Amino acid sequence: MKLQVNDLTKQYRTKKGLLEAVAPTSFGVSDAEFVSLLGPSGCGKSTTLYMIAGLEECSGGSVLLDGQPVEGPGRDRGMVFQNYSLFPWLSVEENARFGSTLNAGWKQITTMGEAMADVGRVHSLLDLMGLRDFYKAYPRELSGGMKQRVAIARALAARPKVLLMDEPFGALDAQTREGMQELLLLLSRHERITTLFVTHDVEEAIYLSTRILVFSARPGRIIREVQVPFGPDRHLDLKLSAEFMRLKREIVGMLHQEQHSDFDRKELLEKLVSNTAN
Amino acid sequence: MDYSVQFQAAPAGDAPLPVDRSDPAARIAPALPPPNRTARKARARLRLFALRQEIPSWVYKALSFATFLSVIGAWAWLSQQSFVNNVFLPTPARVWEALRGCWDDGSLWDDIKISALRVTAGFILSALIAIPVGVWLGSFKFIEGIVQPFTEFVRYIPVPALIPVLMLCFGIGETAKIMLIFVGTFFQLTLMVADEIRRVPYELAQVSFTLGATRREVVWLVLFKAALPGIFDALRLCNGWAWTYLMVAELIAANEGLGYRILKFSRFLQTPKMFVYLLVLGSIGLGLDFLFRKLNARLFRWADTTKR
Repeated sequence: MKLQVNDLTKQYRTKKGLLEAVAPTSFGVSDAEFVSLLGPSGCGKSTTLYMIAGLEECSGGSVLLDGQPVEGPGRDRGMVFQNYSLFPWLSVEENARFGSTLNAGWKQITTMGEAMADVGRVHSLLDLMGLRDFYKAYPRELSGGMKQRVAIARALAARPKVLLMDEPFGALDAQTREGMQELLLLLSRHERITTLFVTHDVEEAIYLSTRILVFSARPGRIIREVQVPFGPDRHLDLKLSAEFMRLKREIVGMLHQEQHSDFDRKELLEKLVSNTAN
Repeated sequence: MDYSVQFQAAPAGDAPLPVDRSDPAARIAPALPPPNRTARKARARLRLFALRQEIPSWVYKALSFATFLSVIGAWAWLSQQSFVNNVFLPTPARVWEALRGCWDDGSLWDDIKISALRVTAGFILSALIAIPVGVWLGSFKFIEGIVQPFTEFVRYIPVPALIPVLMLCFGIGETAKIMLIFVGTFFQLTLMVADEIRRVPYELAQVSFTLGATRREVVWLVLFKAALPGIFDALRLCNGWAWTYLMVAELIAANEGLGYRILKFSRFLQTPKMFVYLLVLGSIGLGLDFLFRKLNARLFRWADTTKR
């Protein structure tokens, strides 16, 4: 296993006592695998991702990367956020190279050749992302999709062992999102990136992943594990195939089952109608 | 799409549309009847008073200029009236004469130089200390706990009330005047810098950590850099306050400087000269503000200017 998560938990102390946000959760992600954490908003899947990234303290459990326990955030776990979070004062190229300009990045570059290779890698990443003409542009001049492509290039430029993505396409419109999904699929196949991807979009999870971990809320925990039966060569047409639809229906069913409503909506509706009539 | 083809393909029996076919816009959509004059005017007025929207830059400049002109006009008119004593309100012509006089004998320039020196020294000292302290204050809750409540406390002590203390500590020389300007601006500036740091989205720090940044790198390469346009704007405001504290500072045993001179002219009822110095102070403020804004726009092209 590239990434191994053992009994990771998160508890918050509230006035009413301990609130368990993430129940003890264990799973692994093997090399070059694309795993999605899928679930409704607020189910603790993002918290799980943040704990793996080291950006959020865990209340218990451990995270092993290549067998080594990790603590705190680091360059070995690259992260892409929903809101792009580019550095507005840096150009596209400088944003993508930011990791290399930090002390931790510099230490890994010892020779002139390595420095050249590093620049070359950033350039080819940006070119692949369709940003060849925008090296010198500032983030405010870019569209949402372009910003997110810069953010992905920036994360990959640091050569992380795993790429963590927190609903990266959530803020994009449907067309741009599909384009980004295709691009990400292409990237992870060619670069053999190990990815852990958080989303609430069932279709997105199936289309991108090799494996899906379905989360349930309160406390967040994995209720099902779904192996996606499609090979690495996927096209957008796949989303229209019967097999895809069947899998989607199955997963949507799982999520619905978990959403037990704790109030009687029908009764409330009747009350609303009678109140309106008066 | 070629819309002319569509029009020609319309059934021949229909009445021909009364449109000018040479005008491409008219071919797409027949022009609305021209609005009458009052309606057009009303719409233009609506645009000029649109909530928080831009107006043409020439309109903006013309308005600002008109304000200055009308104030000068009102002043000229008032000073001609019999019910106004010219000792208290001199005519613009007499003020202009006084300005020529002060300028030619070099006294005005000397006063500007010494006052600017005091303000700049106090302001730079304050900025040099307030910026790093403010950055730490905004970055670490630990330092906030140490510094912030005390700073808020000092901030509310009126600066003139500190004159006796400053005179005891620094005497009555230049140091005391510079220190007064420093004390007047330092605490405010520190808190403003800290606020700018806090306004930087935390995600920028988080993403830097995942790129391998250390805490110090995040503070100085990310939070500080992101807050720079805001810090620069805080400096602009603070510079304005420094000039107001100059008046207070020159109450301390001064015998030259713009503020000192205004008090003296007032005491001896030399109102034309007093007006000259007031106008000079206002112009210096306006000029510095303009300079700071231009510099901000030039240095921080990356910033989204619509937000400030």
